[in-house]
Amino acid sequence: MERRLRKVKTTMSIHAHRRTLELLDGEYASIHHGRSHDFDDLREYQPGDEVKDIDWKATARSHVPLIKRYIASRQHNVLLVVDSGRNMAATAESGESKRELAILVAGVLGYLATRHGDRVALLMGDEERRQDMQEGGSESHLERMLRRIDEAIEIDGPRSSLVDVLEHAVRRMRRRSLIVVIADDLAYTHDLDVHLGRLHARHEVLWVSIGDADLMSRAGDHRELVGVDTGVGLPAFLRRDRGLRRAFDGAIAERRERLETGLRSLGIASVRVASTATAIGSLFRLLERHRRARR
Amino acid sequence: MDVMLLWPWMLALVGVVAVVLAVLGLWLPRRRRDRGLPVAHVDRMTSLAAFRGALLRYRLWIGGALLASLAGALIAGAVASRPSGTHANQEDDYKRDIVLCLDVSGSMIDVDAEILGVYQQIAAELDGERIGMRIFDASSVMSFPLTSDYDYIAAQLGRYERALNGTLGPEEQFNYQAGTASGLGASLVGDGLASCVLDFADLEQSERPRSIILATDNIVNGQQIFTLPQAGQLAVDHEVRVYAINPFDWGGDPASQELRDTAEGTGGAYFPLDFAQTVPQIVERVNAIEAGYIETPPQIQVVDRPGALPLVVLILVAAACAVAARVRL
Repeated sequence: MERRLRKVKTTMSIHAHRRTLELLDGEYASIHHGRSHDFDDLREYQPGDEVKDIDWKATARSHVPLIKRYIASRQHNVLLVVDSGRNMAATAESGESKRELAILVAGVLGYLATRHGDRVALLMGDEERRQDMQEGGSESHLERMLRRIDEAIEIDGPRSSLVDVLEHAVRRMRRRSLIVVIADDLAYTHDLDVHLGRLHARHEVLWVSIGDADLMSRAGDHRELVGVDTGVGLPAFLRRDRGLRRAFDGAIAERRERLETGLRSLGIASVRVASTATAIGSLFRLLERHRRARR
Repeated sequence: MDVMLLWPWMLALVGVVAVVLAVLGLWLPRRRRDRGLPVAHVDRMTSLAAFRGALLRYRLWIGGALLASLAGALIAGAVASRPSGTHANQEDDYKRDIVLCLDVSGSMIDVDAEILGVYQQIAAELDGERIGMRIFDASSVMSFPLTSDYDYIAAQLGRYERALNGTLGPEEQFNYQAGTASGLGASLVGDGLASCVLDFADLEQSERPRSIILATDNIVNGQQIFTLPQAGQLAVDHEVRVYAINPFDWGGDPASQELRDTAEGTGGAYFPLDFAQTVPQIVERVNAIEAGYIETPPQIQVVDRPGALPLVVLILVAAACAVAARVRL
């Protein structure tokens, strides 16, 4: 019955080489600091590993650089904060459903965490609802979590309101966690800045934007669009307008820039996931940025 | 040109259909809204200043298409209600028949030539009317029967005119008097007129107005089978009007008086040729009188007169389609 998680795993192995997955694994391992000194075993060095973890003596005896592995000192908490409003049921930049991408991102990160013995919790919400799941460390727990996300996000569900969810997280999350916010191409507002700042003060925050669909029609795409939040239609005529496209491109670049700059100034690593095919690479970049930002 | 609507209710019907279509057209897009691709953060586009201009352009196009459709529907309705006018049609059957009945005794030759000249001109302008010609002196000879072959008529009239004037060319010499002297006497007007009356074809069936231009001085010399009043009665029996032209009216002499009575008795008229009246004037007056008889009520037909409206509808519909394609409704 682990349908969704298996899909996540399949997507991971289709879109990433084994080496990439190991890299991802290594990245995830090294984003946590504060580890025990109980030596576990040695393993081959992978790019991304801490240089100071290299066991030089063992490496000298062997042909390849070896890394000392320690038993994790304690379990980390990972909290997935997901926007469950109808914005997430819309179309992503690649034409897939944003929900699918959100589940993939949650699944990949949750799976990595589970493999490292960390515990994953879920908080999702929108204008009307708050749903959370207690932390758990099993794959079946992760599967249930993904199913909850899948069921919560509906095209005629409540409107999205990520700021409310973040505010809730600020108030409720006491235990220090790694918080992964799964949002979309939203505008960087003052409220968002405030809540993220407070959240980041206590926790480690990672930001994943699920890329929204292009509103202009390019390459002969003549479909009519419907905005999920207001139900307003965008006829193909407007989507083809050249002047509007130029203004749109400028505004979009500025909007993304503002979001990135805002997050960066808070010290939050962020990445934009545009499609299933590029999701693994994007998440790898996210983890790497996070690791770099801390050191 | 009077234009009236044959089926004015059609305009109302088309109006109702147009309203129903418009209501459907306003309903369907609302249904269709569900079929659009759902996207989030539409404000990325709608908050742009350029969006307002593009939206205005879009609405103008749609407004234009609507306007064209509306006007097209209105005009289509106008076409469907059959704008029509009346068309008066003069039947050819009511064109008259004319027989030129010319006395070719020596005293009449100049007048005859003049009459022929006038009728040559008239023949060039005729349409549907038939002209025949008979000449008489002691006996009568048909020059040519009633015909509408105007070239032939003109040729014959010209030939006789030249013969009467003595100006025939060397190639066309003929004796116009041949056959006119086989009776006893000269200028047997009663016989001549009677023959002319019988020249009309289909006396029983034909409805065409019949008239005779009789040129004579009514100086009878010899024994005739029909007296002039008898011939006049024959004309009356066959509804033939006789227009007499007399070049030698001395004012109240018995011959002229008899001719006048006969002509007027048939419903025709009598014209003394004097200084007051020339032959062309007389012929003109005859035609004016005859016009009263041939004025039959024209056949009134009601004809559709859509004018350029169907073309306008076509253009408007094409414009609406073009705009619809432009904005991909």
